Amino acid sequence: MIGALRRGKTQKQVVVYLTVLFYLLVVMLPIYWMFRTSITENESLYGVTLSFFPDKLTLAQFDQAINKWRFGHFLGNSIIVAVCTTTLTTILASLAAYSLVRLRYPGRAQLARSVLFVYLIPGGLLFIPLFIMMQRIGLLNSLLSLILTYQTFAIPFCTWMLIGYFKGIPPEMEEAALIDGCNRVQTLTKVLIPMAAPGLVAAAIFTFTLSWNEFLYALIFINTNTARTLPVGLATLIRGDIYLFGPMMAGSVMATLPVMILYMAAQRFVVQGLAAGAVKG
Amino acid sequence: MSVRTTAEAARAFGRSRLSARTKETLLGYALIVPAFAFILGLIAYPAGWAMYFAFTDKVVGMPEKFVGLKNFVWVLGWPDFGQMILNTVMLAVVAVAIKAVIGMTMGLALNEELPLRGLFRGLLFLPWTVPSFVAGMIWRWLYDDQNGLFNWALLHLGLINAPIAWLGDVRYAMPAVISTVVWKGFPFFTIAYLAGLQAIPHEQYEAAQVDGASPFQRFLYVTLPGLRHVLIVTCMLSLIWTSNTFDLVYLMTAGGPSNATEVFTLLTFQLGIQNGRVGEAATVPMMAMPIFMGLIVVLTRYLQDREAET
Repeated sequence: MIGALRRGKTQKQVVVYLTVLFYLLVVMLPIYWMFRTSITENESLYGVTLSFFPDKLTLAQFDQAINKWRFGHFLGNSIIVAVCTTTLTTILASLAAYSLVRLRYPGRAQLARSVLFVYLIPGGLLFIPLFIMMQRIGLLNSLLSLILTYQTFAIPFCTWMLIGYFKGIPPEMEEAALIDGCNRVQTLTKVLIPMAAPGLVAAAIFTFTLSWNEFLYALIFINTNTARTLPVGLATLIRGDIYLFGPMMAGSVMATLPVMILYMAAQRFVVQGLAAGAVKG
Repeated sequence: MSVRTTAEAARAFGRSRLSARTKETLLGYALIVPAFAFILGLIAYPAGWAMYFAFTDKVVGMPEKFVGLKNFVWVLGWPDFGQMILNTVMLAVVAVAIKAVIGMTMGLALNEELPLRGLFRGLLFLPWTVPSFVAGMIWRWLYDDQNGLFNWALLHLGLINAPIAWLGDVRYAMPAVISTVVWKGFPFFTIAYLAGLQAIPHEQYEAAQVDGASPFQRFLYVTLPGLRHVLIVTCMLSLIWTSNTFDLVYLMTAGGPSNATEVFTLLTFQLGIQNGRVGEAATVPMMAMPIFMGLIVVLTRYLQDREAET
């Protein structure tokens, strides 16, 4: 009886293990292929000489990507846009979330609901009018146009996440601080924000990623190399019959590594954040 | 004398209490105004313009005039309009269904006690950290007809005799795009289900076991009901996001071959940005709007009701 049970358990473990390993293979193969391509010479990328495992390693693709295709410059633009967006959003969203969670005033529930509503409106419905608007105010081909438009998804997203966080923090500490003579803004900056630090870090990381990964607005607002961000800079390498997959994959590695490292370093915060914010019950 | 002082004090007290409430209201609005200024200025205002443009013959750089429903008639009469709707719906529904199933299997598997479980969780999480435009590039390269890894492997294994033009063939282009969307998106489901599984009390499984429930019955009557909320929310969120896919399709196939992967975001882009026909372009998302708004309203209600319950 016990033997049968144990055998059943081992069988189950084997099945589970095989499933996980299979998916692991599917998940890792494209990522491996990106890294592999980025450090391979053109001769072993195209045609019959292609090989699955690396033979001769080279940094030539990165050299091409940075010096010929200006990916270093695009990377810089992406960093500027993502950092500015994240800073602006985190400040505005924490003020809004604090107001929606801790202060009582008419219309509060409706405003909180509208944040969620706006967060869910997809960009596909908005990009045409935003393009016309940016054209009218003469902001096309500027990084500012991106920083401004990214607020349309970053603020609602970040506010919604922070509402979840701030709600989970008991208000007693802030009440004590109020009695001790702090004003409202001080209770936010000196009590709530330090206590909600993990949540703020997670919200900031998500916002950074949203901005870093944004493609559509960057594609339609920016038409000059000076202001291109990395996603759109990469897209310019797709041109018909010419094979530029080497520098393309090198650029992809440059675009992926910062985000990957960020998530690896902050995985605990991020998983907590996902559980508490995006799919909070 | 002392009576007057008390009355005065009471009045002063009342006044300060009243003003404290007013102060709280004012502060509440003051803190929320900056965020909502962006939301109104960059979402509500342009959305209003889009609705107006849909009824005009607006072209980039030219003044517009009112044309009634002409744009709607024109877009509806576009020969591949039905195909485009079908593509968008298929991409969203099929990809979300596959993501949900894979996410569920992975969630269940990674919820088991396994050696190296932490490492597996970290690795399976990776596609989620890969930017979607990068995912589009990588998979375009994998599917490349001349030098792609898939054709190379299939040829070497002797499974095919000639390379297949995955992204250039009407039959394979959409499945290829869907495979990429699934690869990029299933970790989100896995994470959500893992969190949901950990919230199901262990006693429920023990009770089911005592009652003689088989593993499948336990899944059906304990796990699934326990994950109901997470399932609904992830599927609806993903449905909204996936039906708005732009970058993956744009980078992999640009809607081709012969509109086999044309989706509504891409059509809007081609009409409005590539051809400058803003009026016609504005009608496309407007026709999609009722469906999205329906989904969003239902989801918002659902999330807020849950919030109120807990």
